Amino acid sequence: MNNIINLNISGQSIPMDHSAYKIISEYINWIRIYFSQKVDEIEIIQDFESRIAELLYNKIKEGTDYVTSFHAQNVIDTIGSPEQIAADHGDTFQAYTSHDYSNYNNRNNHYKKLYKDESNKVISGVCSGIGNFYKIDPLIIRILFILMTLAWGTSILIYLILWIVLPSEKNNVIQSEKLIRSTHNKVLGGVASGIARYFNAEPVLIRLLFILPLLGTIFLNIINIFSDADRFFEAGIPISFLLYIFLWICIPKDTKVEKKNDINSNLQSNNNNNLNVRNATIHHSYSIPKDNYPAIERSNIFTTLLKIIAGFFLFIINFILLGLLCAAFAFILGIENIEQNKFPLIELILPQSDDKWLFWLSIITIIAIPLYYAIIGLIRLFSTKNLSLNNITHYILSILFVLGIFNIINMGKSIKDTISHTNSVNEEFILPFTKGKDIILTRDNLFNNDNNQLLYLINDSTYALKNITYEVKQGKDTTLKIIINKKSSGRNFEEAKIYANALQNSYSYDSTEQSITLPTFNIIKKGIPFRFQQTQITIETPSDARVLVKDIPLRYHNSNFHLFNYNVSLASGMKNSEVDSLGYLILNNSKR
Amino acid sequence: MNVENAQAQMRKGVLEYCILTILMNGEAYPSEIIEELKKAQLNILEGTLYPLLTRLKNANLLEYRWKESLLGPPRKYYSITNNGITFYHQLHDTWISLQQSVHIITNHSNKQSN
Repeated sequence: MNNIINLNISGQSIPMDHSAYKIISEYINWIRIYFSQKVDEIEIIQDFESRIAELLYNKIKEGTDYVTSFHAQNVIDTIGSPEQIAADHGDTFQAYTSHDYSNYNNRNNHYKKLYKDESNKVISGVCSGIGNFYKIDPLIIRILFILMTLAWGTSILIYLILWIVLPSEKNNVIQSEKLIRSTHNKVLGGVASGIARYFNAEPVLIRLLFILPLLGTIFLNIINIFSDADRFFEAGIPISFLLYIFLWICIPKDTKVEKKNDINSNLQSNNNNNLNVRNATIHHSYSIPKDNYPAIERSNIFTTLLKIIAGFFLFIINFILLGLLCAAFAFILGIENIEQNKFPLIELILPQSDDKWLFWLSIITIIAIPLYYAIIGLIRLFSTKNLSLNNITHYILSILFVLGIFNIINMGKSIKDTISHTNSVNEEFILPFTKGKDIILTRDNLFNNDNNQLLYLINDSTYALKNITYEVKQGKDTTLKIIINKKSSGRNFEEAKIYANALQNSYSYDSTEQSITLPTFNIIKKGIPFRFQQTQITIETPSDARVLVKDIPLRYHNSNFHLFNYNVSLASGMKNSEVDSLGYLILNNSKR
Repeated sequence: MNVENAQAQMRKGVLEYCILTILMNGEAYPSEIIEELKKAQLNILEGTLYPLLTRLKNANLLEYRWKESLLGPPRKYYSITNNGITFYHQLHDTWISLQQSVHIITNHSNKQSN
């Protein structure tokens, strides 16, 4: 049985038998140690390994399944044997022992300094230097720095210190695998595939990591066990979502690095059963940039399932956003046609009425931009069309979105200011009262309010609010009083008082019938904005008078200070004796 | 002191000049450079050429770009820089004057030994 080894040379995986492996690996190790004493060591070794890989690859293409010692020797003769190379440089040939190899590895580790790599810098090369030292893609170091800024800005301080302290160098070589987003093995943005490719893991596992919080929450909810773990998972959902988007923005695509050939798949498909295949790399103390072939693409049930879940969420998000957008437009355009139960016009709430357009613009921006991205995401997920946009468009849209949010928050603050103070105005009237007669309370039925609408637009900028509260108090003396308390909010006490005063409501009193008709609506006139104006009307009755109330929801304080709440519907819970045949609620009946 | 060393030294001296000359005619792969040298009976190992090319590149006399290849990994495609062109002309002058000098000396010594 032949042992086949897939040796990874310069990013290419070359299958060879054991004797070829011995020859090639000894050759490469000799080259490395020999040139480690020269300047430009890394590039030279790169060139050698790349050429070795190219020649070996050609042997495979010429028809053999794997490289044998014959091919290997051939390649070495083409490039030059160690003896010849040494001679050409004017050195005497020296074979290296394993002692030399370990010294080489140790030396490389021992003398390796931490420095700033100025040849590959974004700001100062600090992250490049750290990445080169640990053989990690500098991009990962940058991402970690940015994320650590969330930890109270730790990383900014560390970064500044490193900037000052580390020596500079220009290395020109990135000594690690490049972290990219995969373009042809992706579900959403290729983030998970790219990460899997970098760490040589299965993309499926990385995707699992991202949706782990969601799955964990669902799982814990299903089996109904709640512990502290469920808070952990719940918190993880927005974190993993935001992290994914953050990585999507940071990690670039690079189709050159991600090549489409894969000679491994050819060998594996032609594999005979008596070939025992394993993978190997020549151990070295640093990684030379690998241009890895992507993992063989397997269309998974799992991947399809993930696509469906993602598509489902995107669809719901689209639905909601679309609905909000339509509602916003309805408000803007259809404002004249308000017949329904809607809150007062926006311009009456805002501090200044010119802000109205800015407000709607911001709302539309906040809804439309995510909607746009959600739609594109949905399309990309389920079709093969490659809709790509300029980076500039992304920047512009993101800036607009952020501006919109800031604007809305600012407006929210201003609105809060406009209602920061409250003030009220009191009016008291004593009404003539005849002892022994019932007091009748009704409301005017302005606007024929059968459908319980709270807001009416009387004309341009004059509106009526149905927010009057009613109270009936059993007084200690013999007078009948009506007390009207008008309340409003404003930026300060003076303004609140002015607004309170500006409320209009009027009652009428028929002294013959002893019937008070109370107002149903507060009228707010042109020019007065909506500032949570309210009115409370209190009727103080003599202690022994009976009060008949028709269709008014009110609170009733009797002489013993018991409080009764009467709803306008006078439905369940009311004793029949409290309501007479005409539908009047009778208060204070027992005193009769 | 052996003759192989001396020969290597002589070859090394003109090698840079020859490489720059080849690249003056246009861009080339390392394998093409070796071919040209072979045609001129100047055999050089690939293992000698690669370090040399890298050294020249780092001295800013050459530059390369990656060229995708359907036959495998991308390969370096070398070309001469402006600095390299200046350098080449200086080497060229040196070569010409060296040729003349050596010619004179060998003629002179030939005359003497005749």
